[in-house]
Amino acid sequence: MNRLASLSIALFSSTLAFSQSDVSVSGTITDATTGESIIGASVRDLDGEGAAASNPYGFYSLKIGPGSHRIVVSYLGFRNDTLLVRSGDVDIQHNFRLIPSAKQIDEVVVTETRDNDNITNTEMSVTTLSSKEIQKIPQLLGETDVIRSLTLLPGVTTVGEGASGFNVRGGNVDQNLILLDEAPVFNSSHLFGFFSVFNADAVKDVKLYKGGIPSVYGGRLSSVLDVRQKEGNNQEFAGNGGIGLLSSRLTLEGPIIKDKMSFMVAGRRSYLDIFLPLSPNEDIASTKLYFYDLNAKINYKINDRNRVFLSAYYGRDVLGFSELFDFGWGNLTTTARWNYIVSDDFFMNVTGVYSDYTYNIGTPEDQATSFNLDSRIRNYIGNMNFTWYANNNHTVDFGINTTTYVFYPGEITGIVETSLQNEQAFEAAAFIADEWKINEFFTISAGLRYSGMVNYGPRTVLDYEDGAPILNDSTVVGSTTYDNNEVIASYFDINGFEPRLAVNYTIDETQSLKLSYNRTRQYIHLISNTTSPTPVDVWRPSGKYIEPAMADQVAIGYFRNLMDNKIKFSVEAYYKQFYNLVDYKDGADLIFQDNIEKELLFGDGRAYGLEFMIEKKSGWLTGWVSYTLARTERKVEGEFRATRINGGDWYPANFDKPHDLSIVLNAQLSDKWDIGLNFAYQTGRPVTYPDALSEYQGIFYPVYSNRNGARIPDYHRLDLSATYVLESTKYWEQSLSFGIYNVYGRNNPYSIFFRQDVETAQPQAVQLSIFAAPIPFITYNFSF
Amino acid sequence: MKKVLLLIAVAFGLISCEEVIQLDIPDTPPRLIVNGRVTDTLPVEAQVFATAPYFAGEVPGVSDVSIILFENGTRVDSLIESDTAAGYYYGSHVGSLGSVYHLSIEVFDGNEYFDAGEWVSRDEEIKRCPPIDSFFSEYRESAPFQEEGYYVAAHFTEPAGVGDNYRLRAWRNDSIQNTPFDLQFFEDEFSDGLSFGTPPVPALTVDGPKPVGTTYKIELGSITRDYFDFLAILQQQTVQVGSPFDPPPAAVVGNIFRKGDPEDFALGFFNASTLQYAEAVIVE
Repeated sequence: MNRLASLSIALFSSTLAFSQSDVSVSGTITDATTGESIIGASVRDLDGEGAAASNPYGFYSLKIGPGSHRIVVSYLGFRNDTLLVRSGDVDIQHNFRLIPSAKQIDEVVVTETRDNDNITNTEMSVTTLSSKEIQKIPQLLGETDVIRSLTLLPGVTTVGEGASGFNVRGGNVDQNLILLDEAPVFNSSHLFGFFSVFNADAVKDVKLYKGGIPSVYGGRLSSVLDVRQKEGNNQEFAGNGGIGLLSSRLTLEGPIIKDKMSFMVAGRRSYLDIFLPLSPNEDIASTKLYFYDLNAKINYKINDRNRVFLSAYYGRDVLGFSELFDFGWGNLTTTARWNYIVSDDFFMNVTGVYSDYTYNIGTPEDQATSFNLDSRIRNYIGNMNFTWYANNNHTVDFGINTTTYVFYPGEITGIVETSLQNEQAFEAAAFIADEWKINEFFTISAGLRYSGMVNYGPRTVLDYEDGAPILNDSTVVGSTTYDNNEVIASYFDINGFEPRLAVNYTIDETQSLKLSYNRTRQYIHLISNTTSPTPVDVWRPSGKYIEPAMADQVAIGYFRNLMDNKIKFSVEAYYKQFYNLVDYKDGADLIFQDNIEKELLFGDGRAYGLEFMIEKKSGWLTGWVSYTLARTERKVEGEFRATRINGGDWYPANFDKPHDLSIVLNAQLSDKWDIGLNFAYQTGRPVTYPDALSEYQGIFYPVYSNRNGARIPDYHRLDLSATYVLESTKYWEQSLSFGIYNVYGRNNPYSIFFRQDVETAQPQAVQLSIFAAPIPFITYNFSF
Repeated sequence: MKKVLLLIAVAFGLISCEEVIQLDIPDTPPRLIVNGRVTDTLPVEAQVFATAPYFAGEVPGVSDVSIILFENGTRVDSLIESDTAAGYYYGSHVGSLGSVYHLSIEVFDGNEYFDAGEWVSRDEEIKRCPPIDSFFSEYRESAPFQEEGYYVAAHFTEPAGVGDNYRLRAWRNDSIQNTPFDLQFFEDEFSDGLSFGTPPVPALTVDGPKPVGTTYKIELGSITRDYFDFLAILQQQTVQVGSPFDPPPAAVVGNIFRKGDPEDFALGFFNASTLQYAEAVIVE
């Protein structure tokens, strides 16, 4: 575009703007020291009505009326920045570069505003944790863990320590959309569930939506965990890392072209396995067990309007027994993104993602009985999202998402060669949402998403007798073979409409009432009937016999800020109904099954609860206290006894924990000392007790009829940690963190189960516990 | 694959601990258990028990129950209770290949454990079972999932036609191996029409490693798919317990139902089999 043209456009838009009496102010908000864009910074027009927040790429856009205006940007932990705009100006582009408040030396007054966005915006059931906050929470073996930290929030539970994944407001672990730079992560755990796949050093920001899920997200019923990786310091080369008992980590970042292009790479490797050979137990000594992961990101700011990002994650777990056997699994994700500021009030983001989750199990190839099993799920995602900042009262988001899946449930090579058929599916969605500030009291965010999916060939699918239960081969009447790209099942139907609504009634500057409703639909399902999912569980798409699952959730909340926004209090109530959840027949065999429908049942679920949270995010003492009172239940009422669970009655889900209390505190005692505490208390999770004893040919077995009818003893645990800043130089900062997990050594049961004693053949009840003793840790951290 | 899960559980075991605990579990009214078997080799037999409180450690035999055997819908035998062991009933009828059997169980008024009522089993067919070609001992080197030592294994030829299921039982030094871990049953999905012991199908390993001189008797029986499924859930509920990677507790449902109401099930299973036997001693 030549200068004349841009000048004329500028003049024209200025005329237009003048005629509409407003001018837009837009640009990006970044951290001045690192160049990292800041998500969710608050932008306010002190001399007008306008207010906005920066989007996930740090972009903001605001309209101002005539006259002069002071535009103030604030974000916790940073100095406020003010821009003066005089009347008659044309559209203004201004990039704010915020200075961290801790770094300021010469300024007289610390002007750090604690905003009240939590009161004024429509978001509810949402929590944001920054990498810094997560790093202050005492952790198992000192391993900073994003997901373990999330379980300290209201409404988030797990079946127990070391269980894979997490449960949000009664949702199964496969109902969380876990996004790492917009790429879905299918298994969020390392070492079966003891650690999460996110390296906190590489993570900028974590946002969890438990409800009021915006229409831009879809495909999972219960939550969205949006994890954004750091972009990399574009000002100077920097690094940080840590050496711990379990693992070590190193992150490097720096400019490739100052202000324009930067990179970030982070790696982690656990070395628990180094100590295993020391064990006197031969089985343990010959076990391999470790994980590693790598995060990388490059971003390039082509000009003020265009920016591209490339990011990748690769993580892997390895488990091996002697020379006999190897087992590995992990995620690979790659994301390419292009941000384009189309105009001062129009933002576009285009994303392409490739993601692959795989596991394989094998024996050495030279063995006579060698075998190798591979299973994977691949997907290819294309997203186009737009935001139109129409005016200060309307912000419109719209776009399309597509995902192509290929499921490779299993292929065995070696002495026996066999494989399950692949499944192919295509999921698409279009969405639109408008955030409408009706007046100073009401803001509505209304959205609609339409989604659907098709399951297509090639594949051969079994046909069953009409009206008979799909139980086993006895009702199979034949099969149908579908050609390449031939539709097997299509779910582009009326149930694909997913309305999303959030309403904010701002009572005054310190309190508001919020209401939200969302419908969500899910097309892929994790096939797992174990208490904790295992890495060998496979995902299957909806198809001829598996219908999509659906959920409706309503939530209402009261939000109140106290002491000049220092303390934020909220209480939320929710009710959630689930439809068509995958469940499993008694005795289901889910491993290596082509026609998985024979093992499945379908049921409904309901979850409801009250969540209280009080938090303090600034000052020398920070932290939160949360308490949840909630129930989660499931019901599978089939037509036949074999297609019912628990006689068709409601029963508590495995992770139903009515009372859940968390206290997380961090105190900055001095420049050198920082201490952290966390305490958790939860009702024991449900387990099934036998009603009686039965016998078959000398084998005693328990008779069960009341699924999850009893509970294990309550869970509670206290953790403490401290960080001491060691003698540091300008170029090398160092600190030592140490602490104790499970300080008073509570022997928390993980489960209670029933078996026949191997020696005496007598029936017995056995309690299984994990981490029954205090577990200390020490980690050395450095940055340069 | 099940072994893989077992190994995951082992890895999990590195950081977990188990302890036997005392629990108070409320008693429930007794339920009927009927276990029985008809074969082409031995006379029909059945055991009738009542369920007991879980920690009782034994289940009482139920006396004075009428048990009738039907062959292809015709009554062929009435089982008589043992004089010495309450709840153990024996008949004289020996089954034949291809015939279909069921039991009818009647509990009379005044029974110690139950109200009067009539119960039946689902039909069970005596299926084909090929003979055991050989049963022998051999020395094996260390290999995946296999310690070195002497093993006993069998060769047999699986007849063509998918859908055969088998159960193997073993007596070691005249003592039957009947813990949950000893349950061995398999289908012919991957071995249809092939010979166990001729590549690609390995010999059917029965036990090992064990010392020289150990004696063995094995019984290979053809079984129905219903019985296979029953054994599978029995094994799952007794072996795959305890780790977070195990399936949830579930009812072990057999094939005994209240007459006229297949949804009201008793416990236990009545099965039909063709049996083949072989014996071996571990030699150097």
